[in-house]
Amino acid sequence: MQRRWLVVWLAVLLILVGVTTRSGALISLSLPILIYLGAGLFLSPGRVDLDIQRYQNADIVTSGAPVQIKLVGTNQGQPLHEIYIEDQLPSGTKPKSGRNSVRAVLDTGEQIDIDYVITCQRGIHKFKPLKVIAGDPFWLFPQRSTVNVYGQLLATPVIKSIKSIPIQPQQTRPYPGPVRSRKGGSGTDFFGIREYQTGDPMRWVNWQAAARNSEELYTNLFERENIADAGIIVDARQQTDVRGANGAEPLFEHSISVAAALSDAFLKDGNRVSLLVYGFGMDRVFPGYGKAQRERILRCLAGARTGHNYPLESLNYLPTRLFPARSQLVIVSPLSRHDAPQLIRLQAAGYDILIVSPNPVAFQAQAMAGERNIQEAVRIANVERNFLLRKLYRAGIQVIDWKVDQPPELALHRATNGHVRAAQPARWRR
Amino acid sequence: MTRSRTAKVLVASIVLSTVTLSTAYASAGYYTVAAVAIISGLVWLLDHKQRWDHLASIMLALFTLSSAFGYWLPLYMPLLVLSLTAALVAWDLDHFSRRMQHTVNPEQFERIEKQHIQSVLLVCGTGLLIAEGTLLVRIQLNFWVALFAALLVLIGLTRTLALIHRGT
Repeated sequence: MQRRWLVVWLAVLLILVGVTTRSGALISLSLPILIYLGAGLFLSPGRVDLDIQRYQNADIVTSGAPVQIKLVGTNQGQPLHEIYIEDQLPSGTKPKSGRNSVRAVLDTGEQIDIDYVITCQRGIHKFKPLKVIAGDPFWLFPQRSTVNVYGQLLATPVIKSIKSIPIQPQQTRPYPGPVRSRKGGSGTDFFGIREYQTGDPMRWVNWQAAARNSEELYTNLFERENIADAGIIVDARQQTDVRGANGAEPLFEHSISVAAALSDAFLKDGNRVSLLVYGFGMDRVFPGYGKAQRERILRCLAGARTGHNYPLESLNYLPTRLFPARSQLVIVSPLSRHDAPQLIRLQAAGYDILIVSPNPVAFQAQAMAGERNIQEAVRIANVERNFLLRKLYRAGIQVIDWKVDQPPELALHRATNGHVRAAQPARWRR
Repeated sequence: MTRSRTAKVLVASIVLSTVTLSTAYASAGYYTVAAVAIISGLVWLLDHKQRWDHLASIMLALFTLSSAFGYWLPLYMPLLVLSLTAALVAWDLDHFSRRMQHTVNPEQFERIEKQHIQSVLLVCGTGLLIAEGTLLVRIQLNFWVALFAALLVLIGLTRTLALIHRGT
């Protein structure tokens, strides 16, 4: 029962009994309550006219970093005896210090500040309308309302810095970079020799080959080093995501984290990188270079979430046109058992594929440790997973089985020996 | 003003309400009821520390009904009016202190507390004075005037309730 109804019914009871029994004393007894109630009603605020501005020290932050939020409210209406303002925090954010609400007395034109610090998980966090309750001095007739103040925070994933991963796709871009292009030209690694042409530097002349043939001079060729196209595909299908133990972050967060680290490493090497988040929808970042592209990718990863979308349950509809032909594709996916044919087809289409697969079996086994018959279940799940991975290995796809409790860098370099090998396209195989 | 100021006024109101009610009953020889009133007052004081939900509301209802019941015994009415008013102040301050529990800004707290205590004391004090004053007034009404007054009161109450409903 709201508190005002208690005093209302007590006053009504006293008056009715007083009138019924024709007792003036009982009606007198109700007077303090009636005057209290009347004063509350008389002093209850009319229309609340608040102008509230929101200030944040950053709109884009790294997940877990503190964000200072300040709200400044000005009363543009009548004086308010007591007002309660609460900034309702979006889900995925946690208050760190200060308070996101305030209770105050506000005269006309007076200002009030709400100052607090929050931390937020990866994602796009939109602030809800502010909850405002204005009341009379006795809080008998509080008026609830909301004030819309736009506020949004974009929390990007934390980038775990990893060492450069040398890739070697079949096709590279024509600009100098770190990737060996399998073409002769200027570089550091010996590639072959050809006949001397006018203008070749003398220090490139292969004198041993020239000594064997008295009439011709030969020039050393070096393997040209260019930049490459790297496409990162993050699997956001709900059926491949695995939830952790109570409150632990899901496996998808690890996928996002490693995708951010990989894109950062490729971009640092000067490569052209694109991103596709495939699952709930198809969020994409078209190929690009440099810090601006890094920001675009991080923003896209910040908003990535898993979800169910029937047409995108399988990898059949991967929009391969987003990625240049014969480029390097890095697929970050826990993999489902129906994915092998599509991945093999992708390999056959000429892409060099590297799969970074966060191990869902080990992840869930950790979360369910201590449950009955878990060891048998894990063993069976591991057999199924190994069967799938072997099928992919046999097709020439390089798969990194990453147990997420290990640093991603360790798994990447252990699996690739510091080098992602160039796989033979499946179409060349018998 | 400090946070303890609300607590002081609250405790004083509970004590005043209890003492006046028990005195009114004890002076007419109803010692058992007086003892129950004292125990109720002590429980209410304990609630100030323990923060039991709804106890303040139950106590206000109890003290109001006890004051009303005292009219038929008959007890000394000015004491009962004082008890009821003090109970109302205590009930209000109990809710106020709960509401202000999480207010951390000391300046704002001080300002709200000062304004609230002044308001509640002023309004309840005025109510008390008017109620005590009306106890001294004696008017003889014939049946038809009393009936008219009763109808007027009923209409007034229903209008007030409608206004309260509309206000929310």
